[in-house]
Amino acid sequence: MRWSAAGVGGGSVLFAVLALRVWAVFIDPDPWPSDGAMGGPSSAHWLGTDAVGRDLFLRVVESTEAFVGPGLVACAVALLLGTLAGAAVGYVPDHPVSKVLRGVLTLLSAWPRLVLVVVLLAVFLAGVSDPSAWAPARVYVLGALVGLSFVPQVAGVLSERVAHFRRARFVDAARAHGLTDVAILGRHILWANCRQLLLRQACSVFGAFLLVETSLSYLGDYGVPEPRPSWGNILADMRSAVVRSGGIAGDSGWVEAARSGGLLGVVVPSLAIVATIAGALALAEYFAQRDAEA
Amino acid sequence: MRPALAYLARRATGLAAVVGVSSALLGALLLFAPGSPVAEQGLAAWLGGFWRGVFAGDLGPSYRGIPVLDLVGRGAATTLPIVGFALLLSLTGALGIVLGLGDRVAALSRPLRLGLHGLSLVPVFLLGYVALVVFGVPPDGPRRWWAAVFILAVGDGTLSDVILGLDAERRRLVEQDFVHSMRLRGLPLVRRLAPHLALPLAQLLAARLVFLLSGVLVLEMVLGIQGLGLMGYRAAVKADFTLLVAIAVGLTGLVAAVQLGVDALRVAVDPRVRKDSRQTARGSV
Amino acid sequence: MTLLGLHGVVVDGTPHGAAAPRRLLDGVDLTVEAGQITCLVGESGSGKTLLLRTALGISTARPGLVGGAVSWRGRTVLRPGQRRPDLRAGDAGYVFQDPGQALDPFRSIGRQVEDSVAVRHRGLARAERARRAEDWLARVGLPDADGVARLHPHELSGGMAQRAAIAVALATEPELIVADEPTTGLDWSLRRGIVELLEQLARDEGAALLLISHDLEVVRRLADRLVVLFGGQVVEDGPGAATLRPGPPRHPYGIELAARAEAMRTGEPGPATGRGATAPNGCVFAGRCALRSAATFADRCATSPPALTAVGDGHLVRCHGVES
Repeated sequence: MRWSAAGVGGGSVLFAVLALRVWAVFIDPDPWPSDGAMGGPSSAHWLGTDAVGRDLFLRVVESTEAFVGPGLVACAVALLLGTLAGAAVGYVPDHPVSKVLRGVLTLLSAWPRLVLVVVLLAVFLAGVSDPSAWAPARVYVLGALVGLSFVPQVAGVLSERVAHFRRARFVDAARAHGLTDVAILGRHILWANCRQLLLRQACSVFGAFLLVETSLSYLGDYGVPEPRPSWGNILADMRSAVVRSGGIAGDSGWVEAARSGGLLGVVVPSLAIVATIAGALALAEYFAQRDAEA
Repeated sequence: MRPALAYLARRATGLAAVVGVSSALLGALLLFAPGSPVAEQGLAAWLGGFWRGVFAGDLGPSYRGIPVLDLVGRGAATTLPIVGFALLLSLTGALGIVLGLGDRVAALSRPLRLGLHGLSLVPVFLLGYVALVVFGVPPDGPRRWWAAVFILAVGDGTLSDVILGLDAERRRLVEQDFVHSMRLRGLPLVRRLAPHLALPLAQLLAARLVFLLSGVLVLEMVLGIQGLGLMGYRAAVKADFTLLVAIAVGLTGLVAAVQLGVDALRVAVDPRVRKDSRQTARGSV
Repeated sequence: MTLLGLHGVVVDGTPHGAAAPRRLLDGVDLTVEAGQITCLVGESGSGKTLLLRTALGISTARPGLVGGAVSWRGRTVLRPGQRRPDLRAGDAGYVFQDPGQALDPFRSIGRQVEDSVAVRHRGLARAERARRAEDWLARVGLPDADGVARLHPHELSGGMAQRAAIAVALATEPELIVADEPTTGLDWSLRRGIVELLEQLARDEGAALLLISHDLEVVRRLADRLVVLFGGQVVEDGPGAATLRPGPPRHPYGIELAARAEAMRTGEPGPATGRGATAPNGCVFAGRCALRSAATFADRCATSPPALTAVGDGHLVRCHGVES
C-alpha cells in the first residue's frame, strides 16, 4: 500500500479532532473564571481567557462537541438517503420511482445549501412548541438538515457509478447464476465498487457541516447556544472585543493584542477551523485517489 | 433559427416549472409552521396569492413595515452586483492562469499552487472575519465592497474549482483532432477555441453560482452588508415567512435565469443545437 | 528529394492503463520522397500513427521524442524534448482517421476549407476564398459543393465528412499529405473511393502522400514504397513491387501480411500465425515468426536483435533469415 500524503495528513487531523472530542467528555463544563477577563496565556490558562474570563483552551477543546457528533449525523443522513436514492436511480432508471426521485433531487440541488438549511431550520423551530427546549439538540437537527442538503450530490455521483456498473457484463452473468438484484447491487456494485466514492462524499459532508455549524454559531441564533462553546461563537465573542479596539491592525497593535489574549482568541479557532476542513478535504482526496486506482 | 427558439422555449418552460414547483414545495413545508400564512390559508390559496402578488408587484408588508417586494429589490440591488463581480473576477483570474500557463498549470511550483488553493479552501466566513479583524476593513464603503467581491471570488474553493475546471476543459480540448488540424495549419488557436471553451466555462460558473449564493449569505452577515443574505436570515429569525419565501423563490428564479442564459449561449455557439440535426445531408459518397 | 526524414526516432509514452512510460518506437528510420506515394503498414499498436503524430508535433504521448531527429528537406526540424517541429504552416497536411473528430463541430464546412485556403493565399478577398473553397469541395467529389459548404460537420454522412476533411487538409496545398487510416471508420464500399481520391489529388498537386494503414489490400495498388512496422521498429522497407511479393527474400511479417491480404481476396483461409515464446533480448517478431521454428538460426533469433539488411535494390529487411 503506497503511502499517501493526503491520506496521512487528512487522517491525522481528523484523528486529532476525534481525540479532542473524547477529551472534551472529561472536561468540567463551564469552568468559571478564576482570573480576570481577556488575560494572556499563563500556566493556568494555556491560551489565556476570553472576554468573560473563561479558559480559552478548554473552550476550544469543548467546541469539538458542537460538530463531531452532529457532523457524523450529517454523514449518516447524506450517505443513507443518498445511497438509497442513488442506487435506485442508477440501477432502475426507467422505473417511475426513479423518475420522481430524479425530479426531487434536481429541485433540492437548485438551492444554495445555507439558504436551504436556514429555511428548514426556521420552519422546524416555528413548528415545535418550545424552541428553547430544543436548543441543546439544535446542532443535531442541523446535522440532519445539512446531510439532507447533500443527498442530491451523493445520489448523483452514486447513480452514475451504479449505472455504469449495471451495464457491465458481470451483472448479466451474476443474474444467470441466480443472484438476486439486491445481492448484486449490495455486494458487487455498492460494496465492491462504490465504497471509496461514498467515503469521499462523507468527508466532504463532514467538512461542509463544520463550516455551516461554525457560520451559524458565529451569527448566534441558529448555532450552538451560549454558554456552550463553538469555534464560531468564540470568534464572535472575540470579534466584539477586538474590533472595538480598531482591529488587530488598529491602535492596539499586534503586541498588545497578543498580550491581551484577543489575538489567540481569533487565531486559534480560525486555524482549528481551517485545519479541520483541510483535513476532511485531504481525506476526501485520499479516497478519491483510491477510488481512481480501483 | 426556429428549432433554436423552440429549444429555448422548451427550456424556459421547464425552468419556470422548477421555480413554480419549488415555491409549492416551500409552501408545503411551511404548512408545518403554525402562524405562517400557509398554515392559516391552506397551500393552494396561499400559493395562488403569492404568485398573484409577485406579478402584481405587491406581496404586502414585511416585519419591518416596508413592502416585501421593495425589500427584496433593495437586497437584490446590493447582493447581485457583488455575486456577479465575484464570478467575473474568478473567471478572469482563472483564465489568466490557465491560458497564460497552459501545460504548466499542472507543473506550477508546489508552494504557489498550495498557496492559491489553500487560500481558496478557506471558508468565506473566515476570510470575511479575517478581513474585518485583521485588516480592519471599515464597516462601510468601497473597501468593504471590494473585500466582499474578492473573498467571494477566491474563498470556499471557488477560485481553485474554476481554475481546475478550466484547465481540465482546456486539456480535453487540445487533445481533439480538430485542434491538431488547426495547429498544423497554423490557425489562431485562442480565437478559434474560444467558443469551445465558453460553453463549459459558462456551465462551470452557473454551477458555482449556487455555492456563491451560500457564501454571500454568510459574508453579508460577517461584514454587515445589508443584502439579500442578511435580510433572509433576519426574516427567518423573526419568522416573517412571506419575506423568507420571497427571497428563497427569488434566488431559485435567479439560478434558473442563469441556467437559461447558459442555454441561450449554447444555442448561439453550437450549431448542433441550432439546426435540426435530423437534417443529415443525403448522398452515399 | 527527401521531404520528410525520420532518423533513429525513439519515442517513449505511457499507453492507457500503464504505470510508467514505455519505449513505443525504437530507432525508426523513414524517409518520404517528394511526389511519391509511401505506405506505412503495421497492426494496431505497432506505433505507426504515433510515429507520424510525433514527427508533426500533434501527439499526446509523454515524454514523446526522446532520441533521434526529424528533418524536412534536409533541415532538422524536431529534436528530442521538443514538442512542435519547426515547420511552415500548411506544408504538411494530415487526414485523420475519424472525420467527425477532425472537423471543428462549431464551424461550417465551407469556412473550414476557407481557413485552409487562407493559409496559402493571404490577403484574398472573402468572396474569392469562398469560391476556391467550393472548388475544393467539388474536387473531392462532393456534389452540390455550394450546399455542402453551408453545412456543419454533424450534418454529413461518414463518407462525405471524410471527403470534406480531405478538402480541408489539401486546401493548404501541402507538400506532404499524411493520411492516417483514412478509411478505417468507413463502410467497405466507400473505402476504395477515398483511397483513389487521395492518390488522384496527390498526383495532381505533385504532393508526396504517406498513407498509413493496417490493411494491405488498401495499399497494394498505390505504394511506390512500402514500409512495414512491427513492435515499434521498421522491419521492412522497400519499393512497392518487391515488398508486395508473397515470397522471399522478405520479412516473415511482411509475408504474413501479404498472404493474409491474398487470402481475403480469394476467400481462402489465411496463413497460420506462428506461436512461440517471445524473446525480449532478441528479434521483436520472434514470438510470432513462422520461419523461426523451421530454421537453423533459431537460437540467434532469441538472443540477438537483427539489423536492417539490404536484400535488393533499395529493399531492406530486418531478419536473421535473410542475412547470409
